This record gives sequence, C-alpha cells and structure tokens, in this order.
Amino acid sequence: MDSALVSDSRYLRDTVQTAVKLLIVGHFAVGKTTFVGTLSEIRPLRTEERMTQAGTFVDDLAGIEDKTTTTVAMDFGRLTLSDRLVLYLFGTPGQQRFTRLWQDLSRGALGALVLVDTTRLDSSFEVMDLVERQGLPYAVAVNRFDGSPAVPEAELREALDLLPTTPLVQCDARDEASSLRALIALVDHLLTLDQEPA
Amino acid sequence: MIDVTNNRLGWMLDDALRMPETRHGILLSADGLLMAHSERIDRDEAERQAAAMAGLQSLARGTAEFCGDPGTTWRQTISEFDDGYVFLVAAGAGAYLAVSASPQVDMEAVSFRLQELVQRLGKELTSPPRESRPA
Ligand SMILES: Nc1nc2c(ncn2[C@@H]2O[C@H](COP(=O)(O)OP(=O)(O)OP(=O)(O)O)[C@@H](O)[C@H]2O)c(=O)[nH]1
Ligand SMILES: [Mg+2]
Repeated sequence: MDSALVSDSRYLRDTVQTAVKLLIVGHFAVGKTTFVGTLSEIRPLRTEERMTQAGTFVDDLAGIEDKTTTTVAMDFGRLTLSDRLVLYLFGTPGQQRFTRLWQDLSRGALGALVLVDTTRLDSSFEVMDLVERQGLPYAVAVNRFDGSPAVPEAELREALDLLPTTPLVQCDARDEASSLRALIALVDHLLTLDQEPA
Repeated sequence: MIDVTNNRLGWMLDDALRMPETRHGILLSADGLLMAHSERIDRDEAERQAAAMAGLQSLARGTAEFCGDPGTTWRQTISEFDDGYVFLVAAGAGAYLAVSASPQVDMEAVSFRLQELVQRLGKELTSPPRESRPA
C-alpha cells in the first residue's frame, strides 16, 4: 500500500467520512479497557501493566479480585459505524493520578461515554466532575457486574445528578451488542445537540 | 476528500524516509488522530501508533518538572529498543511527527532530517491541499 493521507480517497470508500473522537471514561476498574476491546474492529492499543502492591490501598479491588492489570496510559480502538462515520475510541485511566493525561486525551473529543458501576456509584462523582469541567457532552452507561444491584433509573439519575436529557443506558462491557447500543446512545445524543441551535 | 494528486504529506514522509536505516513515519494531530503515514505501514497500525504517540507526548510533558520548570517546552521524545529507535517531535501547531529507525541509524542525521521535514510540513499544513470538489 502507498503512503497516504488518511482522508485520501484511495483507501476509503467513495463517500466522505467523518472521524469522531470519543472518550470512554469511568472510575478504576469499571470496565473501560474491556469496553474498547469489545467494540474495536482493529487490534486495540493497550497500555496494561500488572498492578503492584504499591496500589493496594489506593486502587480498591473489592468485588473484582481477579483483575491483575490496570491501564497506565490509555486504550484506543476504532469502530466504523457506517460508510460515513468512523468512531475513534479513547479509553482513559480512571485514577486521579492520571488527570493530566486525561485532559490531554480529551482534546478534540466530541463527547464521552461515562461507565458506572452501581455498587460503587460514589466513585463516579470525580470522573463526572472532570467530564463536566471539560465541557464535554456525555452519556452514562451502567456496566452491569454480576451481583451488582439493579438500581431503578430514577434513583440512578438522582444519585448521579443527571439532566433529564442525558442518556442513561445499561450495558455489559464484555458483550458487543449492548456495548454498541451504549455507544450509539452517545452518538445520537451528540447529533441531537448538534442540531439544536446554540 | 483530498485530491489524490495533492497527497503531498504522505509523499513528504516517504521522501524523508529515503535516508538509510529509517523505517516508518506518521504524522498525527495532537489529539491522537492520524493525518498521514508512510508507504510501508498500514492504516490500522498507523492509527494505533498515532493514538499511542499522543499519549506518549502527554506523558512525556508530564515529566517536565522532573527536569526543570514544569512549563518548559517539550521538544522531542526518543525511545530506544533492541530493534531500534522511535523519534517523536513537534511538527508545528497541533501536530507531531514520529519516525522509526534501526539501531544502526545515524541519530544526528535523523534529528537534522526531522527538523528539515518539520519545516516543510509546517508550510504544507498552513496551506492545506486544495479540495478536489467544492465543499
Ligand atoms: N461481570 C462483569 N465483569 C466485567 C464487565 N466489564 C469488565 N469486567 C471485568 O472487570 C474487570 C475490570 O475491567 P477493565 O476493563 O480492566 O476495567 P478498566 O476500567 O479498564 O480498569 P482500569 O483501567 O484499571 O481503571 C476485568 O476483570 C473484566 O473482565 C462486565 O460488564 N461484567
Ligand atoms: Mg483499563
């Protein structure tokens, strides 16, 4: 294959493609890496490192003791939704110590999907705060873990202080269909915002 | 869509990679999206590398304070592997250039060539190729 501009028509189908950058965010171990891996059509970029004892008291593993690695920089994957729309998914680390990287990676992003876990809702406040301070539109996806309580939508909305217009969906980050639905909820939301007069 | 005959950015990368012992080159936006790539790296790999380079740049900048003033300007990051080197440099406003090379490469010559390329790219980026059809 030749060298190419990415927008070069030789490598893409005939229609004009729009690249949309989206962030996949959420607190520690909520399932961001799993989510990006499930949806990416290319081998995802991973920056997993084995968790060390240094993190024992910082990164809380209650309920997910089989998790052995954590993301130290980012996840990346690509998903072509249609001839016209290509999504670039950037997963970002959930821990406070990575905030600066988080802010850099949010450059150019059109929106964020916030993954939350109903057993640890309070862990999500910090990341939702970051998203809001960046001024990023977002949707919330509840990543259902085995044994996590089913919380009624109204209660979730209140706990997370969501606007009535903010999409709230359920997914299992290991499952492609439900993960795709969550992402499409975000994309639809972004399109709606786009059509509203500013 | 950009006119095929105006594909100067990719061509410029290949041109720069004509020097001995260099491998691939990519141009990426600061937000981690691929802008152009050289001939022998495919698009999927180039896009993955573009994302990784943006992360690398961000993390590198995060280490500025370890060196001096936290606001000191980042110039380049060089990674060394058994199999060679990766050079990551700023390429004008909002863009980075990454080039890989074998362990035998003349590092000084590469650095010089990259600076040269950055200047040419800078001109190219400020005057984007003409659209092939009206927008
Ligand atoms: N039961 C269940 N387990 C899940 C689900 N999603 C992820 N997991 C598991 O939860 C663990 C954490 O998932 P990761 O994808 O590493 O989470 P993360 O948000 O990327 O974690 P950090 O990058 O360390 O913050 C892994 O062991 C996954 O297999 C889910 O929807 N249901
Ligand atoms: Mg992760």
